Amino acid sequence: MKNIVLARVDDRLIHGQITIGWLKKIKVDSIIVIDEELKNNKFLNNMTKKASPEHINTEIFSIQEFIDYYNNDKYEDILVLAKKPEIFEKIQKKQKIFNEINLGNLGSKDDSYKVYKNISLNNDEKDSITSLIKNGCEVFIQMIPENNKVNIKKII
Amino acid sequence: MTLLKFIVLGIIYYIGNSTSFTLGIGYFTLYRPVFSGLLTGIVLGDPALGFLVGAIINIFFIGFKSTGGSLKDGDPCLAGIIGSMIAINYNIPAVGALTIAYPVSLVGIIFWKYRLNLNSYYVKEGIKGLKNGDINSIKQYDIYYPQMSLFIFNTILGGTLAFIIYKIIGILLSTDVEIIKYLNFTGIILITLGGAILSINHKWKYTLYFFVVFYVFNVFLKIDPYLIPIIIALISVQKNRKIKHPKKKFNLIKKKDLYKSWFIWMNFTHSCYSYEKLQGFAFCHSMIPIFKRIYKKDKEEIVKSLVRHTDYFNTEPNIGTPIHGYIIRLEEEKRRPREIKEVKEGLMGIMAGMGDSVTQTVLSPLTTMAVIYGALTGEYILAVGGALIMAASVVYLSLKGYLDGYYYGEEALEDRIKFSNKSRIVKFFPVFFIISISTIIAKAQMMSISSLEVSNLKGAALSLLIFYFIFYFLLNKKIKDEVLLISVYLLGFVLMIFT
Repeated sequence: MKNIVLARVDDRLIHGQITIGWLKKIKVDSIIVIDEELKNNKFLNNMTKKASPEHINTEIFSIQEFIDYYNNDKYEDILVLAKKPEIFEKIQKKQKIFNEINLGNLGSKDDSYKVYKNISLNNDEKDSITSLIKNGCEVFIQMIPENNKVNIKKII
Repeated sequence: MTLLKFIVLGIIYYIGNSTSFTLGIGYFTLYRPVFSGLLTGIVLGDPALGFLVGAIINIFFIGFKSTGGSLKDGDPCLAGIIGSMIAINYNIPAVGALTIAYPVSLVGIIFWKYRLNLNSYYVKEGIKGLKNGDINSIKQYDIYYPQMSLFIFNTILGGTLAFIIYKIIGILLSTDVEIIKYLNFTGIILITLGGAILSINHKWKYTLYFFVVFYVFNVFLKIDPYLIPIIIALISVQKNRKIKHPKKKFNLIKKKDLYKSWFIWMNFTHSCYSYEKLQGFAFCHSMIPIFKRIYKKDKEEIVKSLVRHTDYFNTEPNIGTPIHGYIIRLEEEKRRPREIKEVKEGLMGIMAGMGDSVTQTVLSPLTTMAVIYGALTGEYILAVGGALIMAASVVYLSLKGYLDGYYYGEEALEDRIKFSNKSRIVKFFPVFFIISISTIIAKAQMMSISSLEVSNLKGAALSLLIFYFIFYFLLNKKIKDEVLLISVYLLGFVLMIFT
């Protein structure tokens, strides 16, 4: 079993807001990045692991690997990161793991529109979020711990 | 105070806030209270006092960090200007000026949000222009428009704010209320709270002991001001490892182009910083000399390539520069856009996370503390030294990153990670930090208490440790900073009435 301290959607995965923002406020044993592309890119995979903060173990998993890992016996406090809400949606459909998802950063793309300061969504992403909410998951926008949580329901 | 002086204060606010045109050094210097206080002092005819007030206020902002468009504390630059102006005009002790300057600086957060939103508009227009084939539109919308509006708004808002505070304090001082006494008491407790917040934020096993020991040490003994900084510097100095890998030779790209690109990047990373793209537009801007070289007169190809680089991007601007060098190398090799995009997106977060925990977390606080300590003790060489080390680190790390990224590609990026994991300054930082901050706070408190007409200076300085313990304990119990800050402002009244 794993205790999910924070599950977050962030374009940039592990970056300053994680290392000097969140990790100063929360305690985790491992950071789990769920990203197929990153997993298969040997260089970036290696860099991500090497750059991970001291005393914290970083793993890069595919969706299925994450579910297997989540269900193994070892207890750990974890931080879960993915680039898209869709990843969490896919997991949640297989097994209801998350109670709460944090939207950290989603920058603008050609087909997206701005819903909040640092959050831009396209239709697919919006659908994923709606589906997550339907599957019993609260979705909040919160860039760093010092910001207030904003419930996405009020915005989209 | 003449109208002209308020306008000049507004301009200082612009300079500190812009951080553009300074090769990235401005963010670590001019944006900080100790420097904005000094500039204000120069304008108002008392540089030494302005510098000192800025230094005291800066103690409160040592932990200041901003990551990817997040700003949670007040605006440090504004705090320095307001505090320094009040102290110089009304003869209020530095610590009293802090009491006024801190809440005023919170107004800066509103300006910041507004600025990032306005920049969103400029970025959109800039990219539109670029897509229509106008390369100059990048320069227009990355430099001219955002900087011009920032100049106008900050000058007006900063000047007006300074004027309002100037008037309010003038009125308060003309009443019978013992306002200065209140400001001083509150300020002294604020610094103690600042010390406790910084201790908690840099907590390790012996934080509390180290703080207390060095605080007491500094209250009773006169230590040479250069001793601690020199020891820290000596421990931190490390030989630079050479990357053992064949160096790529310049092909199409010339070294000159890398310098040009670096120059644009360093000056304008945050010139048009917006929520949607963050440094994305600045990245595109920095690629102009590169694509002009690669595609020569083929304007269509230049525009097409630049548009590819307008995507969302954000990293630590100094440590993260091997990304730029590496991308330039890949562009020169005409690698697939998809591959380049993947590398860029994959690396920006990694370098940001690691970079922020070096520059903003370690280098900047240490060098700023040297400047503060120099200002407090009147040892200006120490202050200049601190500022120069910071400036040199920014230039060296960013330029070396640019070149190494091009020469060595992936090796350069791995080297940066090793650099931060292996550097002694990062490793010993918690110890350095606590020793420095307790020394500075002891020094600042001795100075502040002496303005209170207390007979037993050392006793009073020691009794402040009681407040420190209480704050430390409460913060450890997860009481919020904000609650304690408000309590201190109320506590000031109690102290004022009962003494």
